[in-house]
Amino acid sequence: MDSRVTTIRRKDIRFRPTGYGVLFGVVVAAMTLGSLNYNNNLGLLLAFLLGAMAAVSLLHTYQNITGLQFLSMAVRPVLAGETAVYELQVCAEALPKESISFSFRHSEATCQDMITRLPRRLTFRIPADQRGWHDPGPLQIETRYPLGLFRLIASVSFGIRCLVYPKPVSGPIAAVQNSVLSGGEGGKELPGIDDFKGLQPYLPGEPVEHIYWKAFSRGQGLQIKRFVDPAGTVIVFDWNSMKGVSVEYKLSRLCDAVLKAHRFNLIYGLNLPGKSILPDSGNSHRQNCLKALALFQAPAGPVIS
Amino acid sequence: MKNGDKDIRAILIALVFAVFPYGTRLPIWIPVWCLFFWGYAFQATYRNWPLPKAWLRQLLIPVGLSVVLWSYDWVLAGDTFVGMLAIMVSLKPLEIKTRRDKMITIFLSYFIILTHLLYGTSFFIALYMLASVCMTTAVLIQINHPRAGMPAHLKLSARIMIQAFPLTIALFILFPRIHGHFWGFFNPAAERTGFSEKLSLGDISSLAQDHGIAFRVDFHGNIPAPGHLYWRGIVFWDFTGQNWERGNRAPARWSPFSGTETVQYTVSLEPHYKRWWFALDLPESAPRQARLLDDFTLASWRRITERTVYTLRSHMTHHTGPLRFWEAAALELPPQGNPKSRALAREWALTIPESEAIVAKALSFLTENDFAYTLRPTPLDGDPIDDFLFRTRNGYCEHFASAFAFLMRAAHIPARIVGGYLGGERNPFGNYLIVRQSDAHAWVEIWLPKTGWTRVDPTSVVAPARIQQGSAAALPPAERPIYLSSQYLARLYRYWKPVQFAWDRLNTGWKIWIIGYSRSQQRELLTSGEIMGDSVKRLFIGILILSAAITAGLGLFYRGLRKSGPARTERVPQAYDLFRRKLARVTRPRRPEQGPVDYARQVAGERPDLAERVGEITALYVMLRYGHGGDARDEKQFESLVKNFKPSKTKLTEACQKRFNSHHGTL
Repeated sequence: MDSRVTTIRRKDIRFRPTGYGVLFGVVVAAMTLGSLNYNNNLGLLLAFLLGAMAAVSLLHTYQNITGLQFLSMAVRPVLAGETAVYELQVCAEALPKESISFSFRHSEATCQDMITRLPRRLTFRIPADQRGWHDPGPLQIETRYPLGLFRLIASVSFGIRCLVYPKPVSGPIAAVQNSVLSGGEGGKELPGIDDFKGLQPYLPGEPVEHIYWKAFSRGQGLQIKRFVDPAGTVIVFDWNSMKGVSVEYKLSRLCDAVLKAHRFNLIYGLNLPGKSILPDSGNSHRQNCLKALALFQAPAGPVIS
Repeated sequence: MKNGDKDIRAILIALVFAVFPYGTRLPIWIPVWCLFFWGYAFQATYRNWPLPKAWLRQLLIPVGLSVVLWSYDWVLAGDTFVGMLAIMVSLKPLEIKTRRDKMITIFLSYFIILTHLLYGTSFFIALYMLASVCMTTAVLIQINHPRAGMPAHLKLSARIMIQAFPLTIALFILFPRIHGHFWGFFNPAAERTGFSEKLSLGDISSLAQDHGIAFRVDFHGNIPAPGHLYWRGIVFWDFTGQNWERGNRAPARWSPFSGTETVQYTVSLEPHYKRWWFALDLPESAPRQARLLDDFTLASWRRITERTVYTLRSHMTHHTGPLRFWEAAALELPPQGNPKSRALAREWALTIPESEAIVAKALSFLTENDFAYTLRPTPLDGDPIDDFLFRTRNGYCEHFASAFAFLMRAAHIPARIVGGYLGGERNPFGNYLIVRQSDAHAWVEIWLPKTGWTRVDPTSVVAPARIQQGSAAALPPAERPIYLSSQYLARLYRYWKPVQFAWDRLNTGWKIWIIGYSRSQQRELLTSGEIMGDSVKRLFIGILILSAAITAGLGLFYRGLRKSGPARTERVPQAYDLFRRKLARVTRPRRPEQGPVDYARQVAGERPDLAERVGEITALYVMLRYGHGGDARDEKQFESLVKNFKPSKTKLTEACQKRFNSHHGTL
């Protein structure tokens, strides 16, 4: 799991007075002027007290935001048009942390009061429209605690990003059936759902719905029906098989093809200009293929190792 | 219960707190008006009463403002503004909708607190101001962060305030002051009575009833004997036949005066809206803010409109030297009037060769003829001096002084009347004197070749107690103040007196150091000059160090809380038990076989509004009880969370539901 801990430090923090802070400043300035004019030292004392309280409240605001620790969690890739979900865990060393709002640039803000030191999980949903790396940007952490006169903003970059696959578009796709690669006709069978192959003794962990209950009722013990997919065909999806359509459209079609091929447990390969992926199957193969499609001629994404 | 309602109630409390001191100052209908609308607004948060429409509010405000103006006879003075401010604030809580409204109301509340300070500057008012600021700030926190509840907000607000003290004091000392005013001066306190530049018979006796404080004196050594405490303020040169006037005769004195028996003291003079200062006979020289005149009075460059603090040296034994040419005015009398007195004095002058003997003769005339000291002298007719010396024979100090001065002048002895104060009460808590308006006095100075200008106090011959015990004791029993007339009251007064003195000590320190801090003091402090006596300076530095120490101490205290040892987990189950009991009141109780997490899930299902808090408490409990533990502050946190957990019986509102949904992921 790719995660790291980030702590907010002083230098990450900027401060701005809020509108109310400015108004408060005006009120205090008016009090100071009036008291000076009337030589009212007690009035001056009040004005200075209010000013000093505002200044002290700024320290409280700083204290409210420093020392927050973030743990970024792995981000699950999504298809273009879906919502990228970023998850962070936040915990506080010193308590309490009140009314802190967290947001990424395009996400909704979530506001948290942290009154225990237990880590909190923050979830941000951001629509991902384009294939490639989706970068949420730095996390904005904002607080106005305690008087609402100052706003402290910290932005922290975690280097988290979400891989966005092209949006699948279904349609016929000319797949090259490459028997050379497969090493002969009918040479390989993969467990599947299409062809009944026979009965086998049940091993724990195998799908329960494949249990041949009739045999069980006859007292022949637990047996499962075994199906296979003919793996005689090894498919390579070829970029060049599509003509006269845009790059994105081609990628979308290829993405759709990869998703389907994976779902049907085929052995498939991908042939892109400048990159070809040898036929294989399985989750990591799927991810390789989709990643290649997502990042195909991608504009240089965020430089993250 | 919505947070908005809670905020409005808190704001109302802060407003009542802020306006309360005006309760007696404003016409009674204004507080009633305010309380009516605030009471309505307060109840409306519980009962869902309708709030007045905008047009009604817009109608009520001008009506209220006009009535305020009308009740002050359409005069725009300080009180009128305060009344108008109160009317405007009275309707504000009824139109609070947004956060903006709340914030503005809070800022108005700060402003109301400020307006009190135009009226009074006593230590008590300052304390009330602090409390009021603390309250208002707590409400400000409540508006911005409604989670923790008012007690926690008050605590935080007080903490911020205490932490702000050192900075406040530093700002107070260092912030540049101005002399005078940027714009027109309005003075809500009515101008004080005091001496005028005219002494007519009967003036000072009206002051005798006034127990207001004229000034306070801090001696830099021992306080001189009562017989020396003649505080001169003004010298009357011209007699018009009816009253004495100051004239404008004395030129400024350019060289310091010298003598022996020097005392040094600091006077803190209350504003009297005239120019003169008061000094012990006879001052050496004037500080920068005033000049010394040749009749040894001190005239300030500016009218005394604020409390003024100055340090002087006086010489109690002295010789003023030869009579100067302009001082021949001390012999002038109107060409006619008061013939009997003139004749008496002329007879003395012809029969007695020495001036000293004439003075003694005149004094014995007063003692031997049953002159009486009284606050209610018989009114004088015709020639006042003749009438007093030969008919009424009772009077107050100004009667004796003017008659005596008249006799001296008529006998060709230069004489002038000095107006000022005599004596003062020593405050045992501070070794300083309090001089009140009732200590006002007038005496005579005559010029004799051997001693120069010499003080003669004819009143002291008639009523010796006046010097030793003050004016009240010198009066005949019937005229004494009530606290001295009955034995019982006198005893009560004796017990009360120390309280009064202690309070005055506190207030004086406060007034000298906080209220009286002015531009000149600032300059002297910053150039490390001496402002006042060393003792006061030490006190001041002490206050600075003390406030720094308090701040540092509090800081350490809070640090200490953070660094505490491991948790003593035996208290955790107790707290959890309490939590369970609290929940059982509003939901189905926990079944015995249910674990804490399970139970929390059940509660979350029944009462989604409580889910967040219950989840938090449960998670903390699990961590403390079954996890890797935690330290004392987690335990403390757990206990306080349980303590403050107050599940309401009412079902959740839609807004809560929404909030719950948005937080659901955090469980």
